[in-house]
Amino acid sequence: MVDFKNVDFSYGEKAVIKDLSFTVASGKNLLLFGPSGCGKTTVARLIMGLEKPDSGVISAPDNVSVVFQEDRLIDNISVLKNITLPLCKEKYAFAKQLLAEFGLCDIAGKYPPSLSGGMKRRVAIIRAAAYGGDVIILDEPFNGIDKENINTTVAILNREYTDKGKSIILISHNKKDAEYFGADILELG
Amino acid sequence: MRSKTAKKLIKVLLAIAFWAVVWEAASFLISDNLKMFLPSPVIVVNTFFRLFGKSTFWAAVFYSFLRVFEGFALGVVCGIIAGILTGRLKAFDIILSPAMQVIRAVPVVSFIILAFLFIRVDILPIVVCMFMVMPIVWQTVNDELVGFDKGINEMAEVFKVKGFKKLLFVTVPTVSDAVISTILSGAGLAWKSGIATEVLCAPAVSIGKSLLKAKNLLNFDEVYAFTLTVIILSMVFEFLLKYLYSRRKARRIGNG
Repeated sequence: MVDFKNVDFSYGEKAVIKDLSFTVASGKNLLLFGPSGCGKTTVARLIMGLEKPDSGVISAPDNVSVVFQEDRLIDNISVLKNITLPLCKEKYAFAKQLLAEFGLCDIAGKYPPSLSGGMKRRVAIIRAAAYGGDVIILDEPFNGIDKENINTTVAILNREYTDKGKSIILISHNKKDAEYFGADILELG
Repeated sequence: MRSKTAKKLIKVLLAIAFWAVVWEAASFLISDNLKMFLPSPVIVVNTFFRLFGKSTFWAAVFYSFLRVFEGFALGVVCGIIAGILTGRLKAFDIILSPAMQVIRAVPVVSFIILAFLFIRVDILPIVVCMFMVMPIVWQTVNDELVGFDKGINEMAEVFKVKGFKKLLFVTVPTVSDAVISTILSGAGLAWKSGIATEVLCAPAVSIGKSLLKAKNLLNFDEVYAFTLTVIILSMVFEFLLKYLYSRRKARRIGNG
């Protein structure tokens, strides 16, 4: 469960989030929606513990997974190593299974600089899905991904999170993206 | 691909041929009493191949190569360790960073003269090479760690990649390109400083001592031939390092 109670956050003098309260119960999904600069990514950073609120209380699980807005892959290690990096050995087979489901088995030994933008995005999604966690944050996850792969991503994430009583927090400029995960919508800004 | 390499080789050979002609012309036109200081390239190449037959030449090449390599390797290792310490720990940054800046700023000749007072001549070139390479490697490692990619760091934090695993699979791969590039440029510096030290300190079996001896005996064709030897050794050394690096890079950027 993720719970925000009267949270304020500012970057220096600039207040980004004012008195924000919301709850995402286990098994429920949420779309954070709003114009650029309204604080969507900041909310995600607060959930991940990468920022501390100025005031208010945040409650979030310790094991949060994430697809960052940028892929944040390490160029000098292989795709498979990027995916398995945060995993214990027992999860390696699951990571390989996800690669197969995305049709990316043949790039497992390749390095990120040799991949297309869409491939890198899918690798970042696989890394996050393989990691697991009680909550997954998806920051503009569908950038550069075609319709077919969006469907694959949605099916896998719903199977691994929604169906297992975990939560997906989606950040998007497109309100319709909420439909993919049956998510509630929280409009910011 | 092959024709591209052939074209590049032809360009290099043409450049060498051009400068050999200029050298030959200068040697031909110079007055007779100065000819010994600028022998023709043909004489120098002949001397170079004549040296090939001497065991003393190969011994000098072997020991000089060994000294430069040892100094270079020590410089790289110490530079990386110092860079990690100053880049990660404030106390080491305060103590070590000014010392590294000073070592970097000291002219190589001053360093040789001062070190000569305390260090045996046969290991002095190793020490000088090390102190020339170490600060440039240190600077890159330190800068890369201080300005480490914030996004990658956050990724590691969220996914709980910590300790040795983070060092091995996150930190090292992220900073390695810049560090390797610096190490490659340090190879040429190691040769220049190593041979300069040998010339000034003349360790028993060395290219530097052979150069000095040839100069003292006014055998300038040998001076040029030994210089040519150092150039070739330095180029081969750099080529090997670059070749190893480019193979690794090609594997990464190419088709995997």
